[in-house]
Amino acid sequence: MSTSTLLLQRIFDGVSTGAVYATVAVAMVLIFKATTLINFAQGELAMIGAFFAYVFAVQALQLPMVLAIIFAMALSALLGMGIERALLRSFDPDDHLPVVLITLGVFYIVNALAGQIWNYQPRIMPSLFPNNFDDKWTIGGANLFYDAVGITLSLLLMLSVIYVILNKTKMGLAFRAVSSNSESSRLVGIRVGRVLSFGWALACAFGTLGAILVAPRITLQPQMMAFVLVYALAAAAFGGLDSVLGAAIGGLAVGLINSVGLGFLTDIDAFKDFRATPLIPPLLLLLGTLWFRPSGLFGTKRVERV
Amino acid sequence: MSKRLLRLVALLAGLSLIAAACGGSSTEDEASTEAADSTEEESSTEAEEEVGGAADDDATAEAMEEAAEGEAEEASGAASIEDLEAEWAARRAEIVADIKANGYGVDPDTNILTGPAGMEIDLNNCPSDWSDTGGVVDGTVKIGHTIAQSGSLAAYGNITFGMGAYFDYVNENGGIGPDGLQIELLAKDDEYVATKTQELVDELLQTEDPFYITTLGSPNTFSVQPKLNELCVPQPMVQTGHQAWGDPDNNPWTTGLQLSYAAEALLWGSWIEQNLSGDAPITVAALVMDNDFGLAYEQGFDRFVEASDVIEKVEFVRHDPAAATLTNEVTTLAAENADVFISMTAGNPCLLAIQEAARAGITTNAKAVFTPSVCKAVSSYMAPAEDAAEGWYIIGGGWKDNTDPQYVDDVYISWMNQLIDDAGLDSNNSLVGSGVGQFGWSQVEALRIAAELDGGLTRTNLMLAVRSLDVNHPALLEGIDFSANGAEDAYLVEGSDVSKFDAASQTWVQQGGVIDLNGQSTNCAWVAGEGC
Repeated sequence: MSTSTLLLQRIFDGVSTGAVYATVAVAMVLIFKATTLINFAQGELAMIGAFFAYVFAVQALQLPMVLAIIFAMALSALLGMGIERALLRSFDPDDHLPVVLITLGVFYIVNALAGQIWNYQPRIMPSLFPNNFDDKWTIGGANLFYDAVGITLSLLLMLSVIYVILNKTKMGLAFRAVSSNSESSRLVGIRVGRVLSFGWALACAFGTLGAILVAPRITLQPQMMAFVLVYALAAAAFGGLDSVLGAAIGGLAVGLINSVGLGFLTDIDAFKDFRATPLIPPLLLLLGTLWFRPSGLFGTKRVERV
Repeated sequence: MSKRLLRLVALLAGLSLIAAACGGSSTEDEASTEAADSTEEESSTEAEEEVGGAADDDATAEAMEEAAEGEAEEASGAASIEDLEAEWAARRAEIVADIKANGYGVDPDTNILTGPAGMEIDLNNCPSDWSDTGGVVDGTVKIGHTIAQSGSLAAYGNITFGMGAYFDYVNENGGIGPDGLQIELLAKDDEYVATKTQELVDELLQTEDPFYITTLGSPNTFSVQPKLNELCVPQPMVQTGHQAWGDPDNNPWTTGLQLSYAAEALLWGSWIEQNLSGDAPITVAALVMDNDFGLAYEQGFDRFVEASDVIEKVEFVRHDPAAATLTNEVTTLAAENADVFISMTAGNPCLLAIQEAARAGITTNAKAVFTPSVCKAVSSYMAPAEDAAEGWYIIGGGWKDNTDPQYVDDVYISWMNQLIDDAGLDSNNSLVGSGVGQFGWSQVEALRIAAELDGGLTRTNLMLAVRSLDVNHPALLEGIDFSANGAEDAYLVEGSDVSKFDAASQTWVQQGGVIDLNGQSTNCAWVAGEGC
C-alpha cells in the first residue's frame, strides 16, 4: 500500500470512528448546556438504548430496524427524563459534586444491569446501512465503507434536527434560555425542571441513536461505550462543552488525530510502543484544550464581572 | 487567580487521566512490563534455546506432519452419560491406587510432599499457621475464583456460570469424596485488571481462606502467583495458557490446564512452513494484545521465526486490551500485505480482529489467517462475525465447542448442554460450555481423586492429584491426552487440532488428525524479562 493510499485510508478510518465519538460528544454537550455538568453515564445510557433497539428488532418483536430505532430513542428519552426527575431534580443544580457522583452511580448501575440482563457475550446488531466487508467504494486504493458514510451522514442529520429543535421550537427557546441563565428563566416563567427533563430526554435519545449506529462496528455488549466515553469527553472539551457543532467537530478531530496522527507517528520506530496507548492523543488534546483554551474551540468564553 | 487555579486543576486532571490511560491500557504488572520491553532483544538470543512450555521445533514439525496425514478420530463408543461416569470413576480409582502403591504423599518425618517423576513440595516453607485442610469447613470445600465479568474480556465471565452449574450438579449428586463434601464457588469479578485481582485474592484469603483459588488471565494470574505459592494455597488449572504455569520446581502450587501459548505459537510457525514454504519468504503480520498474554504468543512466535529460514516477521502491532475499535491497528497491518495474518488477542477483540481484517481486505489477500485458541468459542467470537469468519484457521487446543453443530450427537456434549439448560443458563453460549466441560469437569476430577487419598481432601492431596492426572477428558477431541507427570511434565494438554472455520455451517472443520505432543513440552521457569 503506497503512502498516499495509506493516508487516504487513515483519513477514512478517522472520519468513521470520529463520527462515533461525535455522536456521544453531542449528547454530552446537550446535558452540559442544560445543566453545566458532565454526565458520566451518557455512554451507558446510550448503550442501554441500543439494547432496547436490539430487543425490538431482534430479541423479541422483530420490528423493522427503523421502527425499532424510533421506539428505542423514545424509550431512552423517557428513561433520561425519569433519571433527571427521580435522581437529580432534588439537588441544587449549582452544587455539581453530588450530581456528578450520581451520574457516576448511574454509570455503574446501568452497566451492571445490562450485564445481568443480556450478559457480556458480544451480539450482532443489525445495521441501518449495508455493512458487509465488500460494501464499500474503493477510492485511490483506499476503502470507504457504506456504513461509515452512513454514520457520518446520520451525524449531520442529527445535528440538523438538534439545530431545528433548539432554534425553531418553543421548547428549544426555553432550553436555550435555561442554558444561558436558569435563574432568570425561572423568573420569566419558564418551568426549568421541565426544560431540564427535556434536555436529558434529547441527550438520551440522540445518544441512543449514536450507539445504535456504532454497535454493528464494535459489537453490542455492555462495555461497548465505556471506552468511547473518554474519546467523547475529549471531543466535547476540544470543541467546547456548550457547543453542539463544536462537539461534532471535536469528535472528528479526535478520530483523525488517532488515525492519521498516531498512525503515522507510530510508523517511526522510536514511537512504535505508543500504538498500544491510543488514549494518549485524546487526553493530550483534552489537557491542551483545558490549559490554553478552557472554553474549547467553539464554546462560549466565560466572562466574569470584576 | 481563579483562572490560574482552573488551569492548575486542568493540568492535574489531564496528567492523572494520562497516567490512568497509561496504566489502564495494559493490565500488566511490573514484571510483565519488563518482559514487554525486552521481548524483542531477548528473542534473538533465545533462538537456539528451548522455548519452554512447548516441544522442540523438530518434534513439533513431526507431529504437525503426522497430523496432516491423519484423519479425525471417531469419538469413544460410550452410549450414555452413565457409561462415561463409570469410566471416569474407574480411571480415578486406578490413579488413586497408583499413588498409594508408590507411597506418594506427605512424609511426616520430613514434612515434604512427594509425587510422581520427582515431584516435591517442601511444606516447611509454608507459613506457620498454614493448614493442609484450609477451606474445607463444615462439609463444604470453598473454591475461590477471580475472573473478568465486566470489562473488555467480560464474555469469559460465562466460564464461572458454567463451573457453578457443574459444581451444583456434583453437589446434588453426592458431592466430593466419601464425605460428600459440597463445593462452594466464591467467584469475584476482577475486570481483567491485575491490581484488582490482587485485591480480590487478598480479600478471599482474609475472609474465606479458600481451599484453592483459580484465576483467569495471564497478567492476573502472574499478579497473585507469588503470594499464593508463598502461602501454599493451590492455584490449579488457571484459565490462561501462558507457558509460565508449567514450573513445578519454583511455583509448585500453580498449574495451567490448556495448551500453552508457546506451543500454539510454534504450531503456527510449523503449519506455515509446511503449507506455504513454496512461496518463501513467507511474510507474517500479527495483531498482539499488549499484555503478558499477547506477549507470550509473540515471544513464542519470535522464537520460531529466529530459527526459520522461510518465515519473515514484517509487522506486529500491539493493541490496548480495552480498545473500543481496532480499525487503526488493522489498517497499519493491512498496509504490509503480509502472506499470513495472526491474531494474538482475546475477548471481544477476537471478534473485532476478524471483522476488521475482513474490512481491510486481509482475509481475502492473505494466504492464511489465524485466530488464537482462546478465540475458538463459536457463539461468542466466530458466529457474530458472520461471513467474515469464513476460512480462518486455528490451532484449537483440542477442545470441543458445545455450540458447534458437529457435536450435537456427542454423548457428553449433549448431556452438558442439557445440564446448562436445566441450570437456567444458555447452552448456545460456548464459554458457559467451557466452564462446565473444560474447567469444571477437570477440577472436580482432581478433587475427587484427592478426596480418596490418605488424609482425604487436603491441599497437598489436591496438588498430588492434579500432577498425577491421566484421564480421557470428555471435552477433548479423541487422541488428545489430558495428563501430567509430577515434576517432569507440568502441562495437562499438549496436543491440538488444526481447524478451519466454515461460516455457512458455523463449525470448525478439523484439518487432518490431531497433533500429539503429549509429554514433550519442557517445563518453564519463567523469569520476567527473560522468558523461560
